[in-house]
Amino acid sequence: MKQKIFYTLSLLLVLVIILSACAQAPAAPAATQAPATNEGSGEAAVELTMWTWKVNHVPGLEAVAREFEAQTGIKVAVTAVSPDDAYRTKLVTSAQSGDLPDIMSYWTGGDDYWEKAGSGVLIDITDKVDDQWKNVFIPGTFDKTSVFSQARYDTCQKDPKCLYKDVQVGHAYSVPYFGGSAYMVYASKPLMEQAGLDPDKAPATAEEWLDMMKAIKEKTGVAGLVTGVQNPDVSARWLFNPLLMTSCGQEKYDAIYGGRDTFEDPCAMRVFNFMYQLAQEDLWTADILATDIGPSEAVMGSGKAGFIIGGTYTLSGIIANGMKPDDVLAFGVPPLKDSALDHLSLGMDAFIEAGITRDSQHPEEALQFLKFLTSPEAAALFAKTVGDVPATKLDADPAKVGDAMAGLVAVLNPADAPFGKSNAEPYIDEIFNVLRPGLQAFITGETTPEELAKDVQAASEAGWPNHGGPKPAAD
Amino acid sequence: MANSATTSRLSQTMANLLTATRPGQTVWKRLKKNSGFLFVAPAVLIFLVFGLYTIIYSFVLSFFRWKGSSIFSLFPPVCEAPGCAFWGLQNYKDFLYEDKGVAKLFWMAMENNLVVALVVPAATVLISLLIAIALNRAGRAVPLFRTIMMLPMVTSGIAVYFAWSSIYLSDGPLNAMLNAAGLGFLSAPHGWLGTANLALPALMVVMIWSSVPLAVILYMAGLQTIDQELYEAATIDGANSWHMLWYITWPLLRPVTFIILIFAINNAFQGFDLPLLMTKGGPANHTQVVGLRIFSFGFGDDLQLGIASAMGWVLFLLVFVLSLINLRLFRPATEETRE
Repeated sequence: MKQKIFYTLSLLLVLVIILSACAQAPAAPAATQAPATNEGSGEAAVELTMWTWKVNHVPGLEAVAREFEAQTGIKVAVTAVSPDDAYRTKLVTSAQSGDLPDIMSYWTGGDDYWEKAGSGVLIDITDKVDDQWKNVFIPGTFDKTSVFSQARYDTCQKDPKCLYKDVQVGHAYSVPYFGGSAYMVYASKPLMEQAGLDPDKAPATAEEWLDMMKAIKEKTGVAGLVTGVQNPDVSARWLFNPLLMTSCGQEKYDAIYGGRDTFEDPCAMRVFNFMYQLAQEDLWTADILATDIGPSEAVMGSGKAGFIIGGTYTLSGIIANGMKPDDVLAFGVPPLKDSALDHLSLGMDAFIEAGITRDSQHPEEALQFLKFLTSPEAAALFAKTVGDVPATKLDADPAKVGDAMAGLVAVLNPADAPFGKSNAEPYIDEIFNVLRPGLQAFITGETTPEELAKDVQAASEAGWPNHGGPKPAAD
Repeated sequence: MANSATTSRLSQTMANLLTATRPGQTVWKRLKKNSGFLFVAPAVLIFLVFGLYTIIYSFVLSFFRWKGSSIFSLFPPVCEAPGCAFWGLQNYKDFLYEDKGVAKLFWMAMENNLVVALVVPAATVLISLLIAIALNRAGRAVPLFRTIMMLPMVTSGIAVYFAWSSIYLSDGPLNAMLNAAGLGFLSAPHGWLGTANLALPALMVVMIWSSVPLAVILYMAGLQTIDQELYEAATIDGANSWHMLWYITWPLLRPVTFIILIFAINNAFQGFDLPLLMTKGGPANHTQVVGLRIFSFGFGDDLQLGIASAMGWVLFLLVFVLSLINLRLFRPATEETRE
């Protein structure tokens, strides 16, 4: 009998230890409201914490933090948790244990972001972002992706799997501090010269571009094109999408991705054919399917490719890998001949947001820092330090933002950008789950344009019913 | 006064508990008697806290839709809406058949896993057994070879990834060697990891390369335990090398083979680091494995912890069943040997 008591007590002891180890702090309220702004209230020894996963952004954020401390006395400690998956995991565990930083960086506008907003991880700052603050952001950034849109609301309400049904249209939980544009191509001027091409003339059409790749390959022996094709998102988003946008026009593009039109339309087929031709003509660099984004910049930087597809953020990468800024010719992905749009205007997209978390002990000071971070003065400092485009309007003044950045800022034209007007996003996974590996399969020679277009269309038709039916056209 | 009496009774109860069941037997004696339990207690405790708890947690989580932002806990049971929702069996249904895109990728990954689970353990056993037998006869050179064999085990994973990725490049040493040997037709012009039908075999070579050393060590330890008289008797009976390998060495090494197979099958199903680092599941999903899908749902772009847990449980069940089959196949011979 006593032996039983001995074992029972031992078991109870073990259970007590387990339960005490697993105990957690009481749950924070799901929807936290932003505090009243108290500008200039940087009283004694407030230290804010900010997390990001972008290691190369840390010097820029720290430079801004130092300037902020000089002006307000409030210190901001910036920490990078890298790579991406480690950062996501850190946020998940910290959200559970109540240890989130004051300010959290996150990818702009995806389902994960809105789920974090809807779960109360980020506090609602809608009424804090007044017109004056809104006005500092480049059109197409804060207004398009930091504010919860009607299109996203409608998509979420129709989707039984959506976990942010409580987020209200027009509400904002963060502000963007890093942006830019994808759909850019950088050419190597020296290789163009060697191939007998005019190094200052960008191709007017995709066909011309293809001929330039062929010429470079033929005359120099260097393969034409590189980008991070190992990441299946890259060729779909950075090349297929801009070609589809110009080939079909914005309304048809929205209709195709929205399930109201077909990927087998002739305007889409031209894009599939072009991408197939790139593979057939062997214009990609060697080992392209084993080349990720970073290594692709190294390939371009070391002169082993004629062109690289990327975004505004790619320039700093190829320069860091040895390419001289003067040797680079930048242009947007050129449209196919006889496309609906004769050129692709490049707008601005927000890429990274900063929001105040529910665990912040100093939300007022954190809000102050967000305002400062997105001010033209701090944004210029950030841009000059890290060589990436902020989401804040900047003067294209080389003295303030550096030469390369000034060139990029000048090239962007958000008011005319079709992607800025498009309501195709959020894209549905069902389409991309087929499109992304399918474009890789062009390179492995496992599929044809006709087969892939048919498969993607079938995926679209099968997928949209899961999201409450095709997406209506924008008003 | 009453308080004092209660305290006294409590003290007596405690004393009874702490003293022996039989008069004269102290707590110390009692502990000594059950010392085995004390020795395993730390391990059991660690397992209960970090093993059993997380196992239960992931099992429960597999029935929820949760991305990690809102509060989800077992003690106390909390699933904070709207970021967390009870999902029943839907997570399982989604990746098994209902969500066509996710299901297609899962089954493609499972197919790759089965190929890996078939090829890698078999090749590991075959190669390591041959190496172990050869090393066993190497005499004084055994320590040197054993050290060399250990190198893949002590090399960091990232270094292995970089080295093998370089070897597999289109202008890497493997293609160069094949071309130099006049076997250029066997080379991979787009790189071994970028060619659809070569990427998975190329990864399997790395897996075999990294799993052979441990298997060799285990086999060599096993070979040391075989009584040499058995071979002498067999020689007298006219057995050749093949007979001795097949009728003496192989049966007596079955327990070791069983351990190696369990390890290898487990690694084949649960390992995902190599595909993650070297191919990211490409090209065109030809190196997707279930572990990579779980990683993607657990930590990557597809973040959905409920599905990651559900996939983990399906994978566990599969490995568990395969281990049981393995046990069944190898146990009779083992017991027979002991008799």
